[in-house]
Amino acid sequence: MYDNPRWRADRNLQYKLWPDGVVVYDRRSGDTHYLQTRAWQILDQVSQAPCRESELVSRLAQNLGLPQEQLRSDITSLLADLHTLGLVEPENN
Amino acid sequence: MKVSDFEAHELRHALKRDGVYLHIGSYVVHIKSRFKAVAQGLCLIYADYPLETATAFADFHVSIEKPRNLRRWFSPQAIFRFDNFKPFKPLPADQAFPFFEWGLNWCISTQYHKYLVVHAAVIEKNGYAVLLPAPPGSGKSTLCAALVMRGWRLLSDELSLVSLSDGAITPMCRPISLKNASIDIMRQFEPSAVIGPAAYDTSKGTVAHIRAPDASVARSQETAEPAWIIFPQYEAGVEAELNSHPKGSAFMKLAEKSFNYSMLGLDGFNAVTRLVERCACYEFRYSRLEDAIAQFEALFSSAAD
Repeated sequence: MYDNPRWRADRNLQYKLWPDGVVVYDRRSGDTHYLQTRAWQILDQVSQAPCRESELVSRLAQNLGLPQEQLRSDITSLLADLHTLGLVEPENN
Repeated sequence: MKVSDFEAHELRHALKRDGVYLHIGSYVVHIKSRFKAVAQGLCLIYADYPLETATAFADFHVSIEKPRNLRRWFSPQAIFRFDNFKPFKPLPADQAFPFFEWGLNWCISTQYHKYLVVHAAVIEKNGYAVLLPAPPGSGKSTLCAALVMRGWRLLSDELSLVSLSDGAITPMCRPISLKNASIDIMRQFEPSAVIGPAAYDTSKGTVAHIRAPDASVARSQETAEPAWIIFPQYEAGVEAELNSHPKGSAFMKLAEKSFNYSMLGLDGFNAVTRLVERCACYEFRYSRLEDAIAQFEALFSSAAD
């Protein structure tokens, strides 16, 4: 594992946005995931352009009008979850 | 010809010899059996369905047979075969007719991949179809039976066939399976309902099948547009209550309740998406059937306005 990698989204994802969350279908694995808003915001950002975790915190804080400290631990944990699910991956992999 | 055009002994003879070809909506089942209970069940419960005895095309070839060993006479058993393959262990012979029903459900849920097959009842009125996906014990079949006894069209009690191309629901109008207390509840609710003999001590408890209304059988080729997805739950003593259900959650529930969602891949995802997009989604708690029917009528009236 590389330190401080740039994260990118799996290119095989299909999304459907619903008012209560987002359903993501991974064409590569055939798995379907139901993401709550914050996890989706992270995946959406990473889908638009690969970025490091610190950039992600900064972008989301700006978009949501929240202090970075408030988001940092959530983002670290959710990014790890999204990685475990195979929805994002470090760009150097 | 219809099943009712045959005398019981003729049907039994045909089932024993070359089998019969039963038309159930859009598919044909070739059935062979030496069990009197299967012939009787077909005569009573499938009376209005088209039937052929001459060799014809069939989507499914099934048989309910007697074993060739001692279990033919001692604690007799029934064996279900599909294309000469035995997907299940034998059951007691007095469960031969329910075994046919369960086996046919299995055939459709594991083989009919031109549809998204959802574990849900479907009823319809004036073109608006309601899907009732629910786990066992939720009262789905009892509610479905009560609604069709009060004028809703039965498309299916067990398996919803959702078109992958346009999302319409294809009927699979078959008998409704009632379990345990539901059997007497339906006898009291609608004394004119035709209910077959009960099979006791099955894996689901006591089971009996109620005949689908003639009007529903007659419209077995007519698809319906899904308008509502309602997750029912029977709870003793509660007032009937219908609440909106979030669509993302409804998607996941439907995907879980679809037998072939994973197998269909992206087509399955797109089919569930389309279904949830076009339907209003609710969860429904009820205890009294008459109240439940009134709630469904009110929902239907509000949509028709």
